[in-house]
Amino acid sequence: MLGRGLGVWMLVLVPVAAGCLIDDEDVCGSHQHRVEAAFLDGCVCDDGAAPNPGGIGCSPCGEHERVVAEACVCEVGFARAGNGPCAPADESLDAGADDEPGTSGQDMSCSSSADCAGYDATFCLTLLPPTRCLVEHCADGTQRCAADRECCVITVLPELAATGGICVAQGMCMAPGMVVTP
Amino acid sequence: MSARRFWALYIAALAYVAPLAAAQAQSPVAPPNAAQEPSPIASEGAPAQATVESAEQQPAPVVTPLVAAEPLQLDAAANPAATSDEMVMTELAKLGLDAAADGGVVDTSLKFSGFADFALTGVFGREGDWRGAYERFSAFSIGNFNLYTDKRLLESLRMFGEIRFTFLPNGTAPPGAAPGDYQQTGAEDYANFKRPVSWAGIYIPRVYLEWTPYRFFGVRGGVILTPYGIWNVDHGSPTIIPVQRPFVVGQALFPERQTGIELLGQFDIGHHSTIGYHLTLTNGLGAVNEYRDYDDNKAIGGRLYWSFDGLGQLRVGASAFYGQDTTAHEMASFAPDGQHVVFTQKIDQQSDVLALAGDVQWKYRGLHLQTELITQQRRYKDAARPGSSNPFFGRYLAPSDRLNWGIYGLVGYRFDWFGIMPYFLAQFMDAFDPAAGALYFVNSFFAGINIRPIDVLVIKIEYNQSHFPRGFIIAGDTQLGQVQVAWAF
Repeated sequence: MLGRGLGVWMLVLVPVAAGCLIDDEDVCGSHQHRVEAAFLDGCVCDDGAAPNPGGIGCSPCGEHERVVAEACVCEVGFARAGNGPCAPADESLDAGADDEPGTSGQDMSCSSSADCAGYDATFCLTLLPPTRCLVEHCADGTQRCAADRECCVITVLPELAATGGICVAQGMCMAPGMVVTP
Repeated sequence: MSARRFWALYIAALAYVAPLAAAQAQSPVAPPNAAQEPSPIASEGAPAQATVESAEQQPAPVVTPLVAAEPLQLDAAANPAATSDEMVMTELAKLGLDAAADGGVVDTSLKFSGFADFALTGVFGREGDWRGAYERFSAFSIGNFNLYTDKRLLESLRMFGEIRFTFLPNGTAPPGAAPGDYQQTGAEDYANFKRPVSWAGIYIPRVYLEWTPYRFFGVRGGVILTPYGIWNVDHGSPTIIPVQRPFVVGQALFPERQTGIELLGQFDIGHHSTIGYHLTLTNGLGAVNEYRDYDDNKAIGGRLYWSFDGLGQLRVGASAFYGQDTTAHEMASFAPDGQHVVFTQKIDQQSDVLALAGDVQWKYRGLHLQTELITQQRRYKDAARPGSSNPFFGRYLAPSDRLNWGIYGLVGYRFDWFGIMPYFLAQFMDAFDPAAGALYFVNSFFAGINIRPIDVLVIKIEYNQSHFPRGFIIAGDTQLGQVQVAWAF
């Protein structure tokens, strides 16, 4: 009797257990790939791609564009008119492409905040690679974020809480971070 | 590990272990009917020895007392004052609650019962890490105060409800805030010279109407606890052997509760064997699944179990759930004619979820063995996979399609002497929690003593330790010491 009951049960369980929803070779969206680092597991944009506005999915950058701070910006010598593609720019446009006032050193590689000294982006984010310089003290208006960024306050970690807010790409401030407008 | 390989290994292990465990038992002592599932009423009340530790909710077309103790009864026939109150009777009649000859009420009593628990919990370890994240200092608390309401409308028709009274949300972090950023629910009490009072909330785990014309067929409609595994439906704190349920149950890889329809029943396939089933059709997942479905894809689920009482009490079950998890909001805009407002749904997150689980429980004399394996596969829609800047990663991160899973095993032995049961529980879980933005890759053990001096009272003394091999947002292992008193009423 025991064997018969167990057999019935196994007949049911085996087909149920065989159900598989996930394609192990394709666990991320388009233009994304998986990363696993310590307690993190998720999808990041492929090289040459940046998150879409709103954070859903990634799109490859266009011609004469490169990824800076997880956004597609024009290469040096190119500029974008409105939402159009990057095209050769005149001197005035070229000057404004990457170097918005108050954001010097932003996303520069660093190993400690000493590497960021002398720039506007004085905080070196070292929690996890890639480490980079970010503009801090934006919550109280001491520093202003670039037009494509927003001020993100994260109080859960003392190291980030002490920054008084860091400038991250728009739509990229996730809980427990909070976007603040000074 | 791929999902296919994982399941293949589990099934192979299960096929090996289950008959071995049964064969090693010495002699059957259970009466012939011992394997039959207890009635749902008894399991929900759960005060008695036989029902506190195990119950598979089943339809029972006979009227059964909710609890061993005398329930509170609002019985008009037993209360002369009530029968003489014509206004009350008139109101009841308007509700169809008169004792008419054809239909109406066969049992006019409204029964209340429930459970509650009181605990002392303390975190061991260094200052500043888990102490701050969980509780800095050991504290007394009432964890659950759940009230069951049971009303039999006809012989085969009844309603059942469960309400949890809770001190929440006072003292918790509001959504989106940093952990530990406690909110207060203070209000001025107009009945007490506007002195401050902390208001609290209620949570409704289930409320449904059940019709059970036959033992092999019943149907429920309403908010139901998802019929899977062992300790999701039998969730009362006197029933749970440790202080808390294992991580993988609490992680809700299956939805804890759903709103919809459930078919259920059981039938015998031999002198000692019974097969039971549950089938569900519900709104599925979602933040407000109690009354809203963000997509037109209803979730389906089911559970099949086999119980055998030839060698103690053995129960083996398999459960499944498939549904779409959608988070969305409506955006209002003007229609092209400029005279009306139209709404467009904006989907914030959408994924398909397939949850599968297996469970085995074997009780032989004082021995209690139990294991559950619970899995969840989540596949996101490409256009609805929300990512954001992860503060721990320092850059954009979106959730990947993933197999989340966990398993636990519990062994205990109940002595006759004071009803003492030493127990040990080992568990492992590998699950990504989007809310925390981190992976719960954790192994843990609970060791403790469960004492049941009387049927309706349980005292638990427990130590548990958890280790995160891949690290966690909070450094170090967790070590908890807990004492809990749980009782049914």
